[in-house]
Amino acid sequence: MSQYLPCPVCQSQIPIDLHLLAKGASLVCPNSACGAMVGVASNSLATLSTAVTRYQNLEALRPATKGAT
Amino acid sequence: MADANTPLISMAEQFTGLPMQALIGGPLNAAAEANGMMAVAQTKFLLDTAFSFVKGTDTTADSYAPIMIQMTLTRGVLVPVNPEADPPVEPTIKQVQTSFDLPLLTILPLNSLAVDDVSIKFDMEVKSSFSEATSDKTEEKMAGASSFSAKVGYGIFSAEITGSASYDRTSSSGRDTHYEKSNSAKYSVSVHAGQLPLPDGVKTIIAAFTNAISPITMPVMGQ
Repeated sequence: MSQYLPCPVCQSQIPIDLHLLAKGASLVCPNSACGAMVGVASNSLATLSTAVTRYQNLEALRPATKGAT
Repeated sequence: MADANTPLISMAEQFTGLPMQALIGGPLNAAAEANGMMAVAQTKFLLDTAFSFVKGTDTTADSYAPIMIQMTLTRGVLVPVNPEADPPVEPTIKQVQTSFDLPLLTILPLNSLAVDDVSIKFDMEVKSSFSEATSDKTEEKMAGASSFSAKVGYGIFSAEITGSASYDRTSSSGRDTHYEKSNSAKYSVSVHAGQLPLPDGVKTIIAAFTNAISPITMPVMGQ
């Protein structure tokens, strides 16, 4: 699950980890000259956490799909 | 005795009798059906998780509104020296926090949920062989022997005659025939189905959502 978010400050690609974001962690821009941190506001953590849980449930269908081959 | 013209097994018939449609199409259909189920589940997941249903009114239709999550951006801002202050303020870096709303849709890795590789390899090998070996050998041996003896006497004369005769004949003929022919065929089928990329329209929507989070400069009051 490698995703990137363009840094609003320097447009560098910030790698996103949904699980970390859902736990309230902030992601730091890899551009050392920028140092911006992106996180999820506390009032949105529950929404994101629910979405991540549902996504994991959806992803659990993948082994059955591979077995069909 | 086997005939040299004995036909070999027809390769075409062997392959024709195989249920190729079931052998190849079965797993592929199963994968496609699984992919379809995944797409349906993914769509349902999208609508249930990333959108909220908005009931329409008499004048508006039902719609789905994207669920937004609030994100915070923290960055350092350099506060310059203020020479007019008393005492003068040293330059400092102030952490400024900016909030912006982001559609939940844009941070979910949707396009990774699909059957990305289906590989079916079916090998069938049919071998047919025919061999004929003939060995024919004839041997004839003949032998004969005879002897004779005669004695004649007349007065004081006598004569005796003896003789013998023999013959020996050997005749041999051989024929060795070896005939062999073989036929083999191999049938290999490889099917690969990959995931299609996201439609350009969906990419455009996601790009628009992504670009919408870029900060913009607000006009200064009074200008």
